[in-house]
Amino acid sequence: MIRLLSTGNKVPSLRKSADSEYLATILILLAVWIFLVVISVINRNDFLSRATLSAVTFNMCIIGILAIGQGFVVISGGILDLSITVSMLITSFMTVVFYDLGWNTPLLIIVSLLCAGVFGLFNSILVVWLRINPLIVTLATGFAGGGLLLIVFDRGLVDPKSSIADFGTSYLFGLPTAWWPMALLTIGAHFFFKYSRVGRHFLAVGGNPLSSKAMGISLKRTRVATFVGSSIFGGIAGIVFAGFTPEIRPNAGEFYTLPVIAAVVLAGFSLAGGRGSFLALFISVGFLSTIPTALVFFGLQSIWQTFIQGFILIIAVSIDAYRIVKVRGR
Amino acid sequence: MSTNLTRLASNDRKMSSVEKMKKSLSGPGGTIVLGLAIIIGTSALWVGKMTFSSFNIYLILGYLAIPLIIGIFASFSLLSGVVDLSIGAMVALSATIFALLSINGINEWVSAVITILICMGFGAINGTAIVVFGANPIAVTLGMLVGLRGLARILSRTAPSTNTSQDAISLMITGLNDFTESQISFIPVLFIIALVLVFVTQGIVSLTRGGRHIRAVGGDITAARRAGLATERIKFLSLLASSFGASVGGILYVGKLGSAPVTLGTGMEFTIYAALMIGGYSILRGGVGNPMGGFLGLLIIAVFANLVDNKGLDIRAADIFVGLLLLVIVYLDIRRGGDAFE
Repeated sequence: MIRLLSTGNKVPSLRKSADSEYLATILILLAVWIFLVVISVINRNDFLSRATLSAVTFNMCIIGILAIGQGFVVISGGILDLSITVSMLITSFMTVVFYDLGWNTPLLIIVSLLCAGVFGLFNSILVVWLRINPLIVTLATGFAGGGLLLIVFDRGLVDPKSSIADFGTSYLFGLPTAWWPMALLTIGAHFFFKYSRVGRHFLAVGGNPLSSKAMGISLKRTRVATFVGSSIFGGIAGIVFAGFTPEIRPNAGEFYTLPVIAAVVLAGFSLAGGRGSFLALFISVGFLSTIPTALVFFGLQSIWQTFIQGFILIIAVSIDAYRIVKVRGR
Repeated sequence: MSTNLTRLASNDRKMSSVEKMKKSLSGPGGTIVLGLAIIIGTSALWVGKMTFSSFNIYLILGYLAIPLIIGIFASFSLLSGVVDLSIGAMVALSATIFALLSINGINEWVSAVITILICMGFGAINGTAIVVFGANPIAVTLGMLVGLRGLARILSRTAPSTNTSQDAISLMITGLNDFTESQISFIPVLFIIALVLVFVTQGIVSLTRGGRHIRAVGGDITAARRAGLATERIKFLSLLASSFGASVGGILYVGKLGSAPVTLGTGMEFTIYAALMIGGYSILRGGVGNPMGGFLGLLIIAVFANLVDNKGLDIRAADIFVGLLLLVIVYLDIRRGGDAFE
């Protein structure tokens, strides 16, 4: 009886062990982030300043929102959405177009997010009904979409007097206003995937699609929701981007694709799906967004940024894979 | 498992050449040839007789030659079941290193060897992360893509300002330029070399034991391991091959362009893998595809790029075309029983 009770207690510990696994990732990332800040401060004691804070938080707000969208795709088994920056730029450009038409702000935000949603719907149609692998679909639509953006839009000029520009350049509680949507969305995503039934369905599909289907979860509906959802997150990032970018260029997405994937992988999301923590994602976005500013304080030009980010990604995925191999054995 | 493998191998041998040809026409080969016919037909109708002028053919084949060399080497990694996204950045890095060494007065041959060795060193890092640590190939080589682009940019800034203009190191190496620009009648020599390479690789892949081993590793790695193949070594070597091809491509581009722009090869990984996928390879599973198909796939893209160029359209239209064509081809493959998603 006692044994039964004790095993009974062990059932929730399954969830607990998953939590402690994420906790380890969070603590390691936090330690690395603090280490980066500490060595930067030792190097130049003026690193801890308002200017640094605002540079890091502006970096975070775009990478963070895109990373939530990407994390959403990864965790629910959609592999990756390589076209997420296209959804972002579609929305940025559409806000400019609708603003020039004289639409009011809430309407133009909703309609431009819908445009991103339609792009996501196109992706999901190819994935669900034509059954093409999402990696190929988003590679192709990302490439074709990028080409289309370059042909259709030369550049987008955001009116500095518009309310979107106000939002992008103002401050709230000492941090840029543009930073807060990212923070709220992170908390929302964390609770959604941890506690809500629908969120757990996405996790289940990511972990094991076949048994989820047997359980009665519709794979098609999940996939459509995944890719429309990631495009909408891309769209939200696009509106924030339009807020603080006076001149939007069609090739602006190139600078975000990799840091976003790097953030998701560093945060311990498994590319096979079903595993990941949005709190860890927040920390890894913070860490990656601090690197460019720290580099400047070390006297390195910003061109070092991509080089270092690339190799951090390689090291991170190697360590992660090695850990899994050690646990499971070959 | 091993019986399965030998059956696979004996299947290859038993099939007569006529049967093989029939099979290839009804399979992906038929689609490619049809696609090629359509695109050449469109070009002939839209641009006119100029399509078949010797100068135009020279342009198409010249555009095709270096990507074909890079693609043939990259196809080894696809065949063994890993995708190397870093080839485009590797081309830029190789061009930059080669140009830097050459303007510092080092002999071209020596600089070429050093460049290739450095690039293969980065290929070895790819291989170590993927094969030794078992990391996801897409994540690793995407990291390598960005890392090497950054490195090329950093190195390019170290060149003396007299040799640089707009993020490109300019230098003219007469011997190499003559070689890359030389032609026999209206066929570029570089293209002939690439075509020979295609046939040699085709022979290796379909006829030799080594080729079968690579396909076995890509097709079913567990079965290949149980059959006693050194699966790790084969994967590692195929990643080295793809970095070798990219570094040679970078050096050839320096000769052809007379400069080493840091943006060289941007998006090339996409074009080459799209061409290889059109030609029957898969970036998701190894063991399928053949070099001839890859060549025809690249030819389709080259003819379209030429069409866009001749009509004075935006070059970005080619990106849209390649993206859509890729989706169509992959969909047709799924209809024929290729690997569908879920």
